[in-house]
Amino acid sequence: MIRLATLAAAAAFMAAFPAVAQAPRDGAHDFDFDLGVWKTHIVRRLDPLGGSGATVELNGTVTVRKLWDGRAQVEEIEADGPKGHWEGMTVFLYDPQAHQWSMNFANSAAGKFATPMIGSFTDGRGELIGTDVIDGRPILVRAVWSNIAPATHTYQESYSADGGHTWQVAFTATKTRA
Amino acid sequence: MIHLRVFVTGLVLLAAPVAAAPRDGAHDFDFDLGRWHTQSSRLMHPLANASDWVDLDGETNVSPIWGGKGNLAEYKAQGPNGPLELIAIRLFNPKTQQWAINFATPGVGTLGAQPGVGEVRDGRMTFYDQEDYAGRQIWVRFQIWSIDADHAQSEQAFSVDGGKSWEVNWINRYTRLPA
Repeated sequence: MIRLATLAAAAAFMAAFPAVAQAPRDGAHDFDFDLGVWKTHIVRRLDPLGGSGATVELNGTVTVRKLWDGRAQVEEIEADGPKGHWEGMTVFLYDPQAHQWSMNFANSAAGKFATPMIGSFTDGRGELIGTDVIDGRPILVRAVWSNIAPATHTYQESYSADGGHTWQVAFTATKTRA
Repeated sequence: MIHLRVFVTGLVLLAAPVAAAPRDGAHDFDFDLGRWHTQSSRLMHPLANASDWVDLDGETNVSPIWGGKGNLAEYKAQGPNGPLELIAIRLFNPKTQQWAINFATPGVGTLGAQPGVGEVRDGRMTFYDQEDYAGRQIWVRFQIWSIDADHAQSEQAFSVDGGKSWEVNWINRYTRLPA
């Protein structure tokens, strides 16, 4: 039983990091779709690890500009919700050796970067993985870009407190080109 | 008269730390916003008793984030070893009234793990952090300051003796360009 659990954990690990199993491809332009100015509609779950499904909604603007011909991007987020004005920013950097993107997020209230999320795009879907600490508990965080069309796409963050076996959606942003 | 001045200076010094605490540092980087011609000198082999300085000629563009509570500096220069590009992100922490500075280059493609953290000291924005350099832990100091409205300078220095002595290894002299 212990062996089976170990195998399952290993399988989950492989599934979480599919890039290892694949020949590296040049993903330097995988985030180009996100350049420009977007209207964002955000649904944030207030207690993402708990049983409550209560959410808050925010509406705002996302502005993404490119650096280094697209191999890096800076995103600024401004949104308003029931708790007032919220500002965030993200630095996306492409690592040409690892063929992976890193995502470095900061909000203006803290003024420092969170632990980076790292990953890549497969079949038009971007998945970056990282860790965070909520209420003292280390968790896994998964960020996914999907439904990517010229004028709209979805960004979603999910949390896992059990090593990736189960995931709870914590944050969904539906972006529409402004 | 001299005695009086010394006494007054003493009072100012005593009062300064108390008076400085509540001041808002959110605009301490405003002087740096804009486009700057940048003349750089880099010591190619720091901490090696070397003097192999290399000159680079380039430009720095500093744009605000969140209306100035953060900013992005994009640096691009040409030197004898080819082009050099980097970005620096400076973010203000309103709780600690400190700034954090993070660097990235396109060749590495990840954000520097350890930000420099600091504030204005003796007229210079001064940041410190501890980093691995060639397998050793060293202290890193980065300073940037305004000379006048159209001139500024920055320097990076390393210390291997806990800050008792510093070797400057990177100097940037900025001259403002038209917006």
